[in-house]
Amino acid sequence: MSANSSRQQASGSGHAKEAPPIQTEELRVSLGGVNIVEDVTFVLKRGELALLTGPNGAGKSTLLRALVGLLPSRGEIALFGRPNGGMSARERFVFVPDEPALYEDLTLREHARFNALVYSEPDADERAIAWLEELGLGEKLDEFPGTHSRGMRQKLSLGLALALERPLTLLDEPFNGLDVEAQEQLADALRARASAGGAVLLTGHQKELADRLKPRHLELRNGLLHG
Amino acid sequence: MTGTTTADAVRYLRRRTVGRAANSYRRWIGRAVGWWTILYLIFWLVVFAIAGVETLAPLASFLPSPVGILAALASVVLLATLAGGRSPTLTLDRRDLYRLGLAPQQPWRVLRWRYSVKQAGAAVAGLLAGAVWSLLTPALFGFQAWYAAPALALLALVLLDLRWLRYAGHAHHGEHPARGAANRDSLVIGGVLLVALVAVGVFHFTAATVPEALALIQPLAGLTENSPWVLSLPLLALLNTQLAVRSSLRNEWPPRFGPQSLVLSQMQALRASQVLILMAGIGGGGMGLGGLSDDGERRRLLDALHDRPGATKPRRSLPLPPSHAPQWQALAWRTASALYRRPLVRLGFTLLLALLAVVAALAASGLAPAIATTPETPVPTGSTAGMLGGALGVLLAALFLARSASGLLGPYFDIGVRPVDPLTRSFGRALPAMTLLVVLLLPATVLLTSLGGAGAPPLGELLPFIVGAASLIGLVVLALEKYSSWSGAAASRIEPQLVAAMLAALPALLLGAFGMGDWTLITQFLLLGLVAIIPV
Repeated sequence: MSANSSRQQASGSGHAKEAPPIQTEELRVSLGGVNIVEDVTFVLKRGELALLTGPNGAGKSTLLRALVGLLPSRGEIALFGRPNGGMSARERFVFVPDEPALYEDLTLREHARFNALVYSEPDADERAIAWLEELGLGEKLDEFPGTHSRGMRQKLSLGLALALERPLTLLDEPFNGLDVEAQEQLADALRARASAGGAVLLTGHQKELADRLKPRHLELRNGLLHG
Repeated sequence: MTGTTTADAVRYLRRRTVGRAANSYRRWIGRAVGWWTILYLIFWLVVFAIAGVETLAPLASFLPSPVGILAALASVVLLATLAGGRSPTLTLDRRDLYRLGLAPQQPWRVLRWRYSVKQAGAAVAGLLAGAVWSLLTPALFGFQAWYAAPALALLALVLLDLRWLRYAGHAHHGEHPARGAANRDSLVIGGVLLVALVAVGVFHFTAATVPEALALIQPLAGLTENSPWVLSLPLLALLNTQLAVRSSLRNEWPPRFGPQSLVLSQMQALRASQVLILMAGIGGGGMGLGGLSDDGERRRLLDALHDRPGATKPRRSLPLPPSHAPQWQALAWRTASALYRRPLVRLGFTLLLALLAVVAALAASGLAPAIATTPETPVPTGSTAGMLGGALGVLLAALFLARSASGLLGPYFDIGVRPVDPLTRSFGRALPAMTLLVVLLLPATVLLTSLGGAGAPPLGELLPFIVGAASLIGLVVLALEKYSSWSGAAASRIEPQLVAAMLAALPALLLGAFGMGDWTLITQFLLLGLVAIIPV
């Protein structure tokens, strides 16, 4: 897969190159007075592929959203040594939410172009198309995603993310809704991404995921992080 | 990126999505309503507006100067704006949030389109209000104010900016520089405007002469003066607020903006779906339309928006019904739980409203005249056509009851494919509301008789009126539940409330008209039984 062999680039200053992709210190997230994530301290290094598991409601998605700045939190979060909400942090990661966030009135091809423009990566357009073809969406490129199945929408969402050369990739339940072949392709891509020096953090609760990805295993249980 | 800037992405997106969405909307309106119908309505609206303006004649003696009142009103609005700002004035939808909000895009570039749409709305509202004011002032106050429209449009834009700046000040945590800047900018600009308004108000109410310079450049000068100078202060304020807004969105999003956007866009989607479905004329409980306007769901979303308890855990809970309990009991428990879990203040307000509605029902049943009677004027027979103007009074009381009961029916329950028959659903949903309202009859009677002053008549004499009010309550609540479930319109909407009230007032109206008022009560009970067994 040509898109698969993309190199990882750590853009930014020397400071950003030295700092780990994710570093949290006593991170706490509470919603409506209930603590969802408590005192999470961990570091994700370059070249690491980490799988965050835990039972339903353990706070996996909450933790991921807090990391990218979508939820207010207490404690410290630094992405490449920078505050997670700022522009310099946003330049360095790509986030795939659990439910695909797509524009119903953009075709798949237009999504690819838009994605490349948003992240200022001209080549990401072609890479995304290559990914979508590889994932079996080649004949759907000029269609709107509105009528597509959950799995196809998930493939589009993943294809767009994998086309980007970001040093940090965060994925929330990326394997949900994918057919077996696409799961294999995604697992290969994530492993390749990590071995090329990028950091990958994903959530999931399938045991076979751990066997397939051989990741660093983090477990979130009752809001506390183990591993 | 070679040859491109980050703005290109947003432009690319808006060029495609906005155009396509507008086209879809145009086509949809054309099919659902018809453009010729809309043009026809616009034509007559314009004709009526012109005719209305032409009929304006100057008053024989003009009204006193509105300067003081306007300054006081504007000060209150401005103070409320400066004191508020807990939730954002505009949000990103989920797609924009994930695809643009998390991307390395300057927040202002991402938000600019939505902000412009909001600005356009505010400006148009200001222009319209100002235009109406300009047309009215010569006839009502005897002066001309032809710059009112642009002045009000500018002020509306300033107010919009100030709202955003207050939000940005609240939404950033601790010592964040963006917090300080947004607070400083909003308070300085808002403060200057407020001081000017207060000065104008003080000058006016102390009958002192407003200095000419202040009269021309005060924020609301456009409403009372006829000079282009009236635009100077609003223009200057807008320039400053716009710079401050852009500066507040230069690099980072306010931390709570993301989650608040998710919640608010969800609420907006609920409202939009409801409006679209109603405009398309699709009814029926099967659509689950009532569920879209579920007040409990809206409340939970609001709690989540403001990070209040109640979003993730219930505030309080009623004991669960036993597992072998009948279906109606489960439904009644669900409704009662939704009521019981409301915040205390809101619960208190609901009870107060219910009490007043019951008082109205008692008054309509004739209790008030009963209290006012003397031994020489006998108590009229119990019938729901007492005071408040006979059948009209009953109708008003029933409408008030329906309004109150709409907040007591609990969440919409679409039986759909569930093995629940409509009678069980209606009984289960309506029981807590009916029980509460009937229980309130006692304090309502005490309240009403204590207002009478001359001492309450014995219970035996009051009983017919209490029974009359109870039957009216039952009829209104059941009719509201039935109609709301059948039509799919949420009980909180005026349409089901009107239908329920009209149905409940029908016996009093018809029998009263034929001089058979004594039969009202029994007919009400018969109607109640009939409504109860209707299988919808």
